[in-house]
Amino acid sequence: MLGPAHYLTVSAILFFLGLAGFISRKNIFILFLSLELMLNGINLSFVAFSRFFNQLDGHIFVFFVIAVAAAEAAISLALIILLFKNRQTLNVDDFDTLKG
Amino acid sequence: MLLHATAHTTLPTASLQLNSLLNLVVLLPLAGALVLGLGTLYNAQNKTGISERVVTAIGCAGPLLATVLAFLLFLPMMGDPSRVWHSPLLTWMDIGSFKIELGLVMDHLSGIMLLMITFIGTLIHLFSASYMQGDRSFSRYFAYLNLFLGSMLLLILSDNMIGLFMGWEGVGVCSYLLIGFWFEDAAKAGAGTKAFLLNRVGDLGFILGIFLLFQETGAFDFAGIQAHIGQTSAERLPLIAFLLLVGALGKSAQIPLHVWLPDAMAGPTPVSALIHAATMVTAGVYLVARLHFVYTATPSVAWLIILIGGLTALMAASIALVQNDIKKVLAYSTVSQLGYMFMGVGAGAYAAGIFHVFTHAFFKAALFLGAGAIIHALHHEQDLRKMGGLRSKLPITHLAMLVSCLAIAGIPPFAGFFSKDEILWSLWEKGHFVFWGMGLLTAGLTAFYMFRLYFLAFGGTYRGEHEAHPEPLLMKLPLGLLGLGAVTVGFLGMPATLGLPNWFVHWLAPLYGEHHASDPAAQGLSLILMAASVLVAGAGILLALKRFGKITGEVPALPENALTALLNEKFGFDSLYQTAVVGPIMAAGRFCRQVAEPVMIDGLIRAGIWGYYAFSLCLRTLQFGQLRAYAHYLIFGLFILAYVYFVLHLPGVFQL
Repeated sequence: MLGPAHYLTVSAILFFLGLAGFISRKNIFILFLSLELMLNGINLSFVAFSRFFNQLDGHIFVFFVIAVAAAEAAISLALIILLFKNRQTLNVDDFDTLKG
Repeated sequence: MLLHATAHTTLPTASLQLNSLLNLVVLLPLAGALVLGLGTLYNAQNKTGISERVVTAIGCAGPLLATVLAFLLFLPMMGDPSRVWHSPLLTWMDIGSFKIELGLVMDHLSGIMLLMITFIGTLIHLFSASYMQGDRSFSRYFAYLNLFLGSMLLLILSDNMIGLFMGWEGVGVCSYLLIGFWFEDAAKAGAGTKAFLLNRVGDLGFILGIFLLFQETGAFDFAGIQAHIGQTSAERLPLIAFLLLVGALGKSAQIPLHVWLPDAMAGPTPVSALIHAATMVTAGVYLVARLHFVYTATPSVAWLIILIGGLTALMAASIALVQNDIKKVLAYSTVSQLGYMFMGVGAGAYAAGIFHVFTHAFFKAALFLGAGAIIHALHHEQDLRKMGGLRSKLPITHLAMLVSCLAIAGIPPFAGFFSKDEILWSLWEKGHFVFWGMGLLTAGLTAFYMFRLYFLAFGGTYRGEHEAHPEPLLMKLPLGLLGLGAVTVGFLGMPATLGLPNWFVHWLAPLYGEHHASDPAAQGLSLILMAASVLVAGAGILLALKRFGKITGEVPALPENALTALLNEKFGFDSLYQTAVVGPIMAAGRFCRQVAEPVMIDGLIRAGIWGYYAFSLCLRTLQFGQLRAYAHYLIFGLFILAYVYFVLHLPGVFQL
C-alpha cells in the first residue's frame, strides 16, 4: 500500500534534483528546466496531501501553480531568446551586471 | 540738599497732563533715520542718488523740529512748575501680574535733559553737514546720527525701565555703528566693537537690576518703583542698586569699564561730540539721578559711586596730561568730568550732578566741535605737536575753544565753575573731605591739560606742514552758539550758599528737594572753598602757560620716568584686560577652532561616515551579481529557517 510518505519522498527527490540542477548548471535554459522540476516536486506533495486529507484545496493550488508556471514559461522563453540575441551566450555567470 | 529726604513725598505723578506732542519729539529723529536709511539703500543701488543737500535737509529737520517742540513743551512747564507732560503709548505685555506699559514722560529732570540733548544734538547735526562733506557714506552717517538722537530721546523720556532700556540699547548700537563708521579701517571697526562689548558688560548688570527691581517692587514704571521702594528687602536693595550702577558705569565710562571711551575717538569728530557731550555717556548719570530714591536708600552703594567717580576723575585727568592726540585729551577729560558727575550724584547732590551734565554738554560739545574744526582745517591732522599758531587762522574756533577751556578749568564766571563748585561744595558739606581733595586735585590737573591743549593748538607758531583752510559758516554757527552757552549757562545755577538764586536746583526741587542754607558760616566756608578751587585752577593754567605758552620749535618731549610710563600705559587697564579677559577668550577660541571643532565635532561625524563606508564595503562583496550565488544564499536561508522551525517545534529531532 502506498502511503503519503512515498509520495512525499518522490516529491522531495524531485525538488532537490531541481535545486541541485539550479545551483550547479550554468546554462540559463537548464536553470529554467530545473526550476520547473522544483515546482512539480512541490505540486506532487500538494496533491499527495490533498488526497491524504480528502480536501480539494491542494488540487486547486496545484492548478494555480501550473497556470502560473505556464505563463511564466512563455515569458521566460521570450526573455531568454532576447537575452541570447543581445549577449550571444546563455551562461548565467556572464550575466553579472547587477553587482553592488 | 540736606532736605532731599522730604522730597520723596512729592511724587512727580502729581499733576500729569496728557500731551501727545511728546511722541513727536521722539519720532521725528527716528523718522529721519528711517527715511535716510532707505535713502542710503537707494543710493547704494543707483549711481546718482540723493544729493548731500537733501540729506542734510532731512537729517537736520528732525532734530531741529524736535528742539522746537522741546522748547514749546518746556515753556508751559516753566509757567506752571507742577506741570508734568505725560503720554502713555501702549501696553506691551499683560500676563497676570507681569504688565509692561510703555509711555513717555517729561518731568523736570527729563525736561532739562531734553532741552540740552535736542539743542546740542541739532548743532552737532549742522556741524556734521560741513564736516562730513564729500564723505561717500554721507547719508548713512546722518541716518545713524538721527537714530542715535532718537534713541537718546527715548531713553530720557521713557516713564519706565523697559523703555529706558530700549533707548539704552539703541544708543549702544548707534555708538557701535558710528565709532566704527569708517569700518574699512580694521582698527576703527575694532574700536566700535570694543565700545559695544564693554557696554554689554554693563548692560548685563543693568538688565539683571531691572528684573530684580521688578521682583521686589512689582513695577517697571518709575512712579510705581518709587512708591514701592520702601517695601523692598534690605538685603536685596543694595544688590539691585549695585547692578544698576554697573550698567551706568558701562555707559558713562567709569572705572573699570572706561576703556572704550578713549578708543571711541575712532569715529568722526562730531560723533565724539555727540557721544561725549549730549548723549550716551550722560545716560549713566541720568540713570542714577532718575533712580535717586534707590541710591538714597543704599548709602553703601552711593559711597561706592563717589569712590568710583573720584578715582575715575583723578585717573583720567592724569592720563590726559600726556596725550598728544587732541581728541584723546578731550576723551580723557570727558571721562574725568563724568567722574565728577558721579561724585556729585553719589553724594546725593543729584541736582548738582545733573547741572554739571548740563554745563559740561555745552563746553564739551564746543571743545569737540572746535577740535573737529581744527582737524578739518588741517586735513585730518590730530597730533597736537603738529599744530600751533591757529589763533589767527581759525578765529571763531579759537574763541569758542578758549571760552570752553576756561569753563572746563573752572574759572568764574564761565559755566564749568558753577557746576564744578556745586559738586565740590556738596562733597565738603557731606563730609567727604578726601573726595573733595581728589576733586580739587582733578580740577588743577584739568586746568593744566586743557590749557596745554589750548596753547599747543593756538599758541606759538604753526608746526605742521599742511596749509590750514578757513572754517566754513556751518562750523562757525554751532561753535559760536555753544561757546555762548559755555559762557552763560552757568548762571542758571549760581551758588545758593552765597544767597544767589540757584534756578537749576530750584527747577529740580520737585524731585530732589531744595536746601536753603545761607547762614554766615556756610557762606564764608563756601567762599573759601571756591577761592581754593579757583586758585588751583589758576595755578594749573599758569603752569601750562609757562611750559607751553610760547613754543616756536619742537614740542619738548616728556621726561621718561616711571610716572610718565604709567600714564602712557593708561594705568595698565588695557593690558590688564588684554591678559585677563581677551587673552583667555582668544585662547579658548583658538582651542575651539583648532581642537574642539576639527577633532571633537568633525572627527566624530567623520568616524561615523567612515564606519558606514567600511560596513557597506563588506555588504557589497556579498552582492557580486552571480545568479547562482544568490540561489545559494536562498538555500542557505531556507536551511536556517528549517533548522529554527525544527528546533522550536520538534525538539529532539537533531539530537543524536
